Amino acid sequence: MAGKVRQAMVAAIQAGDARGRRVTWALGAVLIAVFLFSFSLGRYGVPVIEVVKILFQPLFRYEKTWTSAMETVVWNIRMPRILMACLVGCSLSAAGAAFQGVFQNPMASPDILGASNGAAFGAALAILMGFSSQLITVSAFAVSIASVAAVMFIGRHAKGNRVVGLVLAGIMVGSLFSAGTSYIKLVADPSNQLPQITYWLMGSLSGAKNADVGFAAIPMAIGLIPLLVLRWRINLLTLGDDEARTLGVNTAALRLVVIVCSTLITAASVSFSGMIGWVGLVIPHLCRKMCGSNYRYLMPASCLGGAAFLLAVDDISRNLLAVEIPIGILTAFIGAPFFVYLLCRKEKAL
Amino acid sequence: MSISVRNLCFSYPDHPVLKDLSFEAPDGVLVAVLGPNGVGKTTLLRCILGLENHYQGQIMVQGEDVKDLPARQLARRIAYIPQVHGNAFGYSVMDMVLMGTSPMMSPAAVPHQKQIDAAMTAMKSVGIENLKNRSFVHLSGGEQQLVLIARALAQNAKVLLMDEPTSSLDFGNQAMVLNQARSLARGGYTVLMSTHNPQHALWYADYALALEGGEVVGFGQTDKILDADLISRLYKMRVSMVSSRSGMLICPEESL
Repeated sequence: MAGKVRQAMVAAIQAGDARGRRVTWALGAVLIAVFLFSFSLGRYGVPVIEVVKILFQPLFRYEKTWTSAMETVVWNIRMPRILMACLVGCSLSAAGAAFQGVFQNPMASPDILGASNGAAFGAALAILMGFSSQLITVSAFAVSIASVAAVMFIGRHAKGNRVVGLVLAGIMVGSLFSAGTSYIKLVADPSNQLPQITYWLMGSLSGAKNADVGFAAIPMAIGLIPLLVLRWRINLLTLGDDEARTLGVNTAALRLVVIVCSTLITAASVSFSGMIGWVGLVIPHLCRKMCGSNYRYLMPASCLGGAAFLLAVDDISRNLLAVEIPIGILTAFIGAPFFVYLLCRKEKAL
Repeated sequence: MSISVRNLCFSYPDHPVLKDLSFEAPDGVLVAVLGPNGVGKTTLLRCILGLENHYQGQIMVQGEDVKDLPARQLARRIAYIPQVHGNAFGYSVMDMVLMGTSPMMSPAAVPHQKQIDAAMTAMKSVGIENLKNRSFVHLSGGEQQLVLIARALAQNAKVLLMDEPTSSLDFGNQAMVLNQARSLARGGYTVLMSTHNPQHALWYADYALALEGGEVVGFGQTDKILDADLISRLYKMRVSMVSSRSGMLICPEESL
């Protein structure tokens, strides 16, 4: 066993992978730290040491040094929200990294195939119909998947380059749905429906409950696992179709799997949390800078980094002001300047 | 026969490209594919690589019909060495060469010691092992071409297809890459290389395949078939052959 680990380490050093490995472990450590710290933040303060004790209480049977209120806050109030932030951040970031590979473009993001615009339309429509919050989520998820399916269908029939056809179809279907959303906002009742739609579009994790986390985790796991398993193969897609095929890759099948999985996790994220932009663009980029472009490390690093980032931003969103700031606004405030920075240093090998 | 093409016809929807093309390339030779722009050199390469399936005729590589082989099986027999290109992502040379090992791995696998050894061997055989941790996009054109050759060697296929490998290289790097192609042929690989420059064919290739109007107008050992008449016919210009100490030189007549 120890010999095997040693062998793997030697191989990693020989392959110039030591950095990727280190970065992935470091991001994992950051995520754990942010995760524990997040429980202690909030109107009702809980010291980190108590957080750790409360979390591991079922395992180690610590002597109770905390109040019951602390336990309730940690398990029932903060836990679902923190888990949801991690899941959504992980999913959006992984989907962004995957789409960047499929479209051979480091500027691609999870909404490139219209998943977010579709979800927004689905949610707005459900709010207009006066549906419950569960049905709003279901409707957002369904329309999001449907819009990507429409994009894939149009892309299949487009002449010429497959990838360009898909991107153009994504832009068209996306703008169609965003026009639809605008129309719903126009006809929505301005006293209660319109604010609800607007607030939904800004993105927020405030409504997360333990049951939601369970529901969200299923499609996310179904999408994330194949992406992580196939991560090294995604490298080959970035070479372009012809080259990947001559390297023995069934590009049509691999691309389909990656797109379907990425769509699933994007739709699940957006339908539970609303429109949270920038995570899927910015985090894969940061990870590329830190651990290189090899998806073997980029994919897990993006997952961990995305989870840590969105969790940290959500902590700011619920603690900075007395009134919660929608997280979609904050990610844009942090993401947009970063995007400008990327544009200005484009020539230095993204 | 490493590559055998029989009665190959290929048309794009609006115009025919290859018309009833046949040739056989023996093992361990460097074959240069010559012809004017648009004659179908790249299309021929694409058909052999299995990238175009709507052709008539038969293409056999090492005795197997290209159409019958799935991508992975085909990639173990033929490797493609593309023109030097930019990649939007900053892969290291090692990452790039490792991608050549993908036909031997299951889709869910990541490269391990065996693949790394194969990549190291491939890099050593073209003399770039010192570049392994450099970023591919920061290399010179000549070095990038060597990386792409190493990737093809890591693929462990015995037939190599090169699409105008010298097109964006300077004079010195052109000679270096062509020498590399020739020494691969000496080492037992069958190399099929399209080129714009008949001089390269004359100097480096064992065989020449001359295409005109989508048809084969000459195929055979380079020194036997590649003469002033054939070159004049291919490129619609008058040339003369001048003998020099290091081989025949092709000179456009206007410049004499």
